[in-house]
Amino acid sequence: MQTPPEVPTVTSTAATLGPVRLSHARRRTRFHPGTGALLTGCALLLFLASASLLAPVFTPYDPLATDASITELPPGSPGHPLGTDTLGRDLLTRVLYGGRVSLSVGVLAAGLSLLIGTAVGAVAGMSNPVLDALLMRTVDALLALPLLVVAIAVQAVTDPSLTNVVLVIGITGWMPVARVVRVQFLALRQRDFVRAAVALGTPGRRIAWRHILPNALPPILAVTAFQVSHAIMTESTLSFLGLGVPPHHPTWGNMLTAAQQHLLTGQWWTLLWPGGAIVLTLLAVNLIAEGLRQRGNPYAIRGER
Amino acid sequence: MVRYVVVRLVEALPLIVLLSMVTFALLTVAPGDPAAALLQSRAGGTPPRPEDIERVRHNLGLDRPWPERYLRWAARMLHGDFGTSYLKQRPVGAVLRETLPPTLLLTSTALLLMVGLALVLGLGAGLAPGTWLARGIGTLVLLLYSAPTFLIGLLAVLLFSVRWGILPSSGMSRAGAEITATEVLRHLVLPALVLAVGHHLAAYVRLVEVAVNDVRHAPFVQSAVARGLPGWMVILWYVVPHSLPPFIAQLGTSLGSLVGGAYAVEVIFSWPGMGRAAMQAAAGRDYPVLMAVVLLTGIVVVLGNVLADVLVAALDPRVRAHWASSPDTRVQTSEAYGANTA
Amino acid sequence: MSGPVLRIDDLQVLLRTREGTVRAVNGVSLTAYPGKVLALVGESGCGKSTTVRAVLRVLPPGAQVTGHAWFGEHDLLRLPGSALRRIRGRHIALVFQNAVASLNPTRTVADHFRDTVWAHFGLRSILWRSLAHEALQRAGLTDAGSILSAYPFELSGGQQQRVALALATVLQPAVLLADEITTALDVTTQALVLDQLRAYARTDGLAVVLITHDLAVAARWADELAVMYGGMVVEEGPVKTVLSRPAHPYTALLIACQPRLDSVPHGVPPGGVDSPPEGERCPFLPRCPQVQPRCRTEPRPPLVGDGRRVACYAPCDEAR
Repeated sequence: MQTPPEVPTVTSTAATLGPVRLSHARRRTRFHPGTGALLTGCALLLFLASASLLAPVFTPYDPLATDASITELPPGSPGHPLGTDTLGRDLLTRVLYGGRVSLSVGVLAAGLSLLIGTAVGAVAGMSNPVLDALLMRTVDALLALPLLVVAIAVQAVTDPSLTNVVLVIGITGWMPVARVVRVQFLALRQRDFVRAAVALGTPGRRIAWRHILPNALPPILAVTAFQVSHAIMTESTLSFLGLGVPPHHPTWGNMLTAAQQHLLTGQWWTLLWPGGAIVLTLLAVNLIAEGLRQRGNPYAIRGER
Repeated sequence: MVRYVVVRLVEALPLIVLLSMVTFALLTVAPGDPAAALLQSRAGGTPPRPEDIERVRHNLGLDRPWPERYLRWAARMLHGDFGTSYLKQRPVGAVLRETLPPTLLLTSTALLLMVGLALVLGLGAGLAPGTWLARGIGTLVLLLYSAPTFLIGLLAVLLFSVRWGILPSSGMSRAGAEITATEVLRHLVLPALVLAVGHHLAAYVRLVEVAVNDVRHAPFVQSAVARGLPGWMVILWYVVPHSLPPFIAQLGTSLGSLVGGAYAVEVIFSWPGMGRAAMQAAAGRDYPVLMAVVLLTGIVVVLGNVLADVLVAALDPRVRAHWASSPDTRVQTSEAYGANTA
Repeated sequence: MSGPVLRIDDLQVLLRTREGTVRAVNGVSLTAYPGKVLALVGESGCGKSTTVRAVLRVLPPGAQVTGHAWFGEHDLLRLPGSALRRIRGRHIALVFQNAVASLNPTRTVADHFRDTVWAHFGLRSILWRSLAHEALQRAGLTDAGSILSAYPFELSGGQQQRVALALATVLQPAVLLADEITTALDVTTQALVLDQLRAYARTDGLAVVLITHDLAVAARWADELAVMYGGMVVEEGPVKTVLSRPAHPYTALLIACQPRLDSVPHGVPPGGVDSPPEGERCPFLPRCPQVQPRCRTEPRPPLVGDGRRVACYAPCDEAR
């Protein structure tokens, strides 16, 4: 019923073989749970990302150009299917270009978190208990800091720029990744194939990079996907509070700041377009993350047993 | 049990010290010169002269070596002197005293609501897996998870205040009117609900749901059923106490981002709490206030974590017993319950 | 001998698993008499636990049960939930194998008793403590006071099992279903617990159904023996008779290889999707050393006999 994981033969040539991959226990030949979510999320994200990246294809306007003659047009107006804002800028255009910011910040910041988190987690997981405990206590301390407040504080003292936003979100978001990486390393260290490599005198860095890391990928990918979601959300929150990218650049968050003023005047659509874009994007990313999580953990049981 | 509490508190101290160091470091090494910023804000935007910057730096003690600055700062903190707000020219301590209670009120109300909601939804989904109820709850929760808290806040304001006009959307009570309990409550409803329903709820509902699902098949629950215990009793005394600990452990861990969400909500609803103060401080580069808020929030979170651990110990006698033999239970408990930050 | 207190009649249980639907119980009929111990033996996976759980309807969700389980004039399988709840624990008690797992770790032993008594007696349960004391003492635990205030994980394995036993008998039920309660215990403690069990039967007239895979246990403490294989009862009768002159080939093999029924004598154990649907051949067909031509062509043999019953077309001992 189950194929046992492949165990490498310990010979002197083992060190020259490639990284060892464990074959997963074979289940029935139907899709892993979570595949549906993963595919749906990917499809949605692809659609949204291409809409944003190919924005010039879909709209002729310049997102930054103001035009006092066509301010505050409602949706459905000719030439402006989603309406215009207070400065006469086309909303559809701003939504599409705003997507570029959100998506790039999300991916870049999460990538940064991944790098830092993997480094810290790997070190913690591979070294002696004292260093491990020290690192983890630091992680706990950092997690205790309300990250949004920290981001606010840092953003306040720096000049607003895309790089700063990516840095701030990336540097405040590596902790969950570190935790997952550490747990994986701690667990995989005990496995025989790692011990075999150690017995052959393989240096630690090589073990970590070529043996442990490839096998630890699924949960690391899953948590990174969640970090992307978290990064996009934080970027929009910061932008909303006026602390993100420079305000004239359209991003969904600062479009919502403007929308806040319009709530009382009944222009609900200024809320709907950027808000809807955020929700759709996050939904897509969350679906992907959820799908990855379920696929990476075949023993997690959802719903019926 | 008392010993457990005391030890946890003592363990929290180095964490708090570490926190203060990190806070200090953060705001010291962050690019941007506070002296220049201060002068700039006072002079209305014109770049200050270098001599003036140097003078202000010296006055603020910014040209001392940073370990010395940290110790001075820490010593002052311990004496309750948090410095003076650049913007308001008032002691920061006074600002904190005014803004801490509203924040605590909002956060704790939201937390209670969240726990209640998570339990109810999680139980509903966990006790009836695969049904439309579970799927509906799962979908609802996924949607909420995909909406930033501030967006939910805006939506709530749009619906409840603007469209339907039934709930107030700003401040803690009507401007100019007497501050009564009912007024505060009316103003509390919307922000607390928004916070509670905000994007963390999803993670908690899932946690409770998974725990309940696991426990349903546990022998001790089946044995309880076999002894003829009524359903409500089984849920209350057998299922819930088992599903709560991982939930509470996770709550403790993500307390930090929870409080962060509270600040965004405060801004939207003009709730006079620390969040709004922090925002104003951030806009005006008001360092003393910023540092104090960050530090204070951090302390609240650390204490909240301790509280969470204590609650878990109160619920599960095995934790108390286990801890008596090995002191590293906090880490073990969190990991044993599989807490990971969402 | 008075009439049967529990009569299981052609019980079928279908369980839903990840691999498909499994017919865990395939037409089982058993009778339990007051004051008698009925031992139910069989390999892992033969359906004995499922049978007994089905009686009280403590099965995983999605399980389908057909047949009858007569308790007095009530068919337990047809009773509405509220009526069934009143019978569970009060008139028919089920004790699980792993005692510590069957006790709530976050509640003390006293809480367990209070819950159980309260569940059935409501406001009249102020006497729960004396009932608990009595039950614990009868189960062989002398220091009832400190046991009551303890948490389950603080007790030894033997104490836990006896607490579970006391919990089951505190309301003096008519039937006790004991699912491998001594499997995890050492031989001495096992003997003590089983002596207690038999004392309950003899003095209180409790009808005991004792599930075990240990024929020696059955030999020493049971009155009647029913052997199960592949979801059905293949042989049944007075324990001494069955063990000394087994009629079914399977029973004979068991006795011959001295029971640790989890280890397979030869061939593939039954269970899983291999279990035969109703009406098909005898489940022991693949492993039977005495296969007759008619075993392959006719449906599974019914359980027949008088005082001593066998489900086989070629019983070893043509009954006298």
